[in-house]
Amino acid sequence: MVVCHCEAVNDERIRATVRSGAQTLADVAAGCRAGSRCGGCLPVVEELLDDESAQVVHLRTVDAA
Amino acid sequence: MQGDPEIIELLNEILTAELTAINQYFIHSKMCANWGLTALAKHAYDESIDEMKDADSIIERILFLGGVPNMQRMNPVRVGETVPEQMDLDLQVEVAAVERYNRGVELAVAKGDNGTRELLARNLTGEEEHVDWIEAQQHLISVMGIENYLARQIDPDD
Repeated sequence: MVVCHCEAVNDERIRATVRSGAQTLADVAAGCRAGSRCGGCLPVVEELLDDESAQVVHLRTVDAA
Repeated sequence: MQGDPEIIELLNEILTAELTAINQYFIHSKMCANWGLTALAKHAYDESIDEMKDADSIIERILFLGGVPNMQRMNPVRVGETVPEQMDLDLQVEVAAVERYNRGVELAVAKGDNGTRELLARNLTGEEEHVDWIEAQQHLISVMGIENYLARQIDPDD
């Protein structure tokens, strides 16, 4: 899915940016430029950030088991 | 005629979603045309036009009720990079629209605004038809496979 129309960044690239350490909207913008211009995609970037961190929490829980 | 502020707020929430849908279906149409999927492109284009007609009726209603139609705000336009993804994203928009219109009807009845109720109920049936169409396409893809499905989306007169 195209997320950032201004910079032509899709959800896979944003997820990869989060997995490499981006934790905030600013981090994501710095890492792949998504959300760095008009800001229209920020709600979706936020969803992706939340989704990726939820998966990290899940993995940690599995590890602890 | 002075309308209820909650009704006007809800109508603007609906308008935001309609303006978003216009753009989402339009870009999906143009991408399908670029991919040579002329039949799919035509369908998506017609859906975009239908959403424009919905927005038209909502704008007129808001103005009639003495409100200000919000022409600035849009929800994120979610653009699929493949046909199946486009269908998933369009279905999300439509399912949300059905929920929103049903909620609108409930509010309109509670407020005794049956003119608004009538408009929302009419638009709602159009959204449900679109849900039906998308679900049918997803079913076709699941039973015949995406390649066979897309092969039938090239000729608009097919």
